[in-house]
Amino acid sequence: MTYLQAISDGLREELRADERVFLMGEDIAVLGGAFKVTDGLAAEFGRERVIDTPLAESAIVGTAIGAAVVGMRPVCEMQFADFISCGFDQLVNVAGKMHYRQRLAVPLTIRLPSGGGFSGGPFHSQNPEAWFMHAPGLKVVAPATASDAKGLLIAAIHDPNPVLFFEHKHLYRRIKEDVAPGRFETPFAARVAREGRDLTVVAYGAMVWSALEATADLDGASIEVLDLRSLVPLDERAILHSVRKCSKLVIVDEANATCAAGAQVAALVAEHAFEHLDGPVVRVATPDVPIAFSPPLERALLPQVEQIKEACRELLEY
Amino acid sequence: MLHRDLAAHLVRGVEPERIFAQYMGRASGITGGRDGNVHFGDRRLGCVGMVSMLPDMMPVAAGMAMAFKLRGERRCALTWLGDGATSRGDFHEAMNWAALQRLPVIFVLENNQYAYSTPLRLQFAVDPVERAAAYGAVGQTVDGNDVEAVFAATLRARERALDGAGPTLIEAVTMRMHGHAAHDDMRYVPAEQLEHWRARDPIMLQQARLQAQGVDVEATRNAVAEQLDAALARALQQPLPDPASATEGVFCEGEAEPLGDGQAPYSGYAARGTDRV
Repeated sequence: MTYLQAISDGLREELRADERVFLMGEDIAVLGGAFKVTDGLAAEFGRERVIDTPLAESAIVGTAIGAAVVGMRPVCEMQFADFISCGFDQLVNVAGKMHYRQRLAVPLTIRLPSGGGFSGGPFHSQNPEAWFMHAPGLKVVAPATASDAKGLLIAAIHDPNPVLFFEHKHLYRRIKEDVAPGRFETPFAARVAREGRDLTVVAYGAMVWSALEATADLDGASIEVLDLRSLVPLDERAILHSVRKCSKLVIVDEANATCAAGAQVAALVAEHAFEHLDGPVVRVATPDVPIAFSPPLERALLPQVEQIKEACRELLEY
Repeated sequence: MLHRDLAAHLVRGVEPERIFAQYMGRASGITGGRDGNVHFGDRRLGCVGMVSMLPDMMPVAAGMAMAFKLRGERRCALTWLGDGATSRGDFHEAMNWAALQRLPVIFVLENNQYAYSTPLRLQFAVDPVERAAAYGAVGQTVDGNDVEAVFAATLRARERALDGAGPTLIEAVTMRMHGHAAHDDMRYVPAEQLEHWRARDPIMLQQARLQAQGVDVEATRNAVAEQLDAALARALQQPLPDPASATEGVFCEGEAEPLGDGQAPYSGYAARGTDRV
């Protein structure tokens, strides 16, 4: 099952199991979504539970909040993660602050197809996870594997809080594995993608695969790859445990570098694992530049396998 | 689902003492000191507190209405907004959405002539209530200073909503008689405009109507003032929140507590056993 099919499968399981669950988004019913994640769901569950909405991201998020506070479990699709900027206010000011102010839960899931690597250009390639890490009251997850895509999605739908589910477009059809049938939850915690002793690479989303490829054979060094899976909550224990074990840390972000998830990881390690480090914390991230359209420009911006390899090599020699 | 209409909170059953405590940032306030002034909603009473970004509650109310409709419940959502809020995109998105899906929702536009210092003529070329028809919704203007006219208009809107006839935008035309907030001396409001509206004070109008029906308004007024004085005295005794609790409750742990059913204990209409609003 592909990463994309795993997401569809998770949606189907929840629609079957819980009548409070419904989906809404632009072009998700008749078309099955721009990426076909919701293909066939309208036919199976009806147009009342798989709703084609007007092109109105603020209203998609806002109405989902309203439905959630009266006991529904809405799952919204942003056609591209980039478009969440149009629903930012509802998410950050209404959903994120609701429970703190009024003890009123907002069990809302928003699916955000994110990431670049296929010439999507500045408005179809972004990784805006950190916008929401900075806003209190929102959970943020970003699966790398098909199983985690399904398990984290189901956990997000079950969670009584607003959860932003960043699904990486470049993994949709590239990643394939056996995924357990039925309903299962993946915890909002990190996963060791490969165990190692000499150096830790922290990554999430598509960068987990780049990190694994870059460190598969690095002059015999033993490299641990930690897949964060969840950015809020951030699995601080797992990060610190891995860094204390390996003493060297490379952090890979597909997002723009400043204040990205990786910056938070670097700050955490500087505060709590400084004495365990045998070298500087090294970051590989997209520079603070919009994601360019033309392939050589885009490649020059997004972290490449060779860059990660080089960063690891240099740190190992430090 | 509320905005600045304090009376609506009272009708829903929020105790005045908790409102005073809310304004004074006390632990016993409706938000426990997490938010101030009219930024509150007692979820047990079916109220969702507003936020400062206006009219953010319009899409949220539409979403509540969507849920009622999906579940086949005979229930509608209602929210307030001001004239200033009609210029933002959420007004458009919510009006379009609610009309398109024929949602059981009522938007009450308190047109009080000013958005802070900005008069209507600097806000829009077309009156918002006229825009309602363009969306496929019903727009209705009512004298916002006539309590019974507002009640009647809301009741009609509610019946339309419950009959599946979709949303209504009620424009209650009124005047903001004080500044936007305590610091605002309203120097931008012409004196004659204030005088015009002072003569149409909604409380005076309703009082005259009640007195004509033989109601002893003065006695009621005194009784209410006594209650309020006592409530204020009690609220003043309430402690401020514990600073150690400042970081608590950002996330919901465990099961989500549902929103209340919205029964209005102090509404004579509700007492007659009709459906809830």
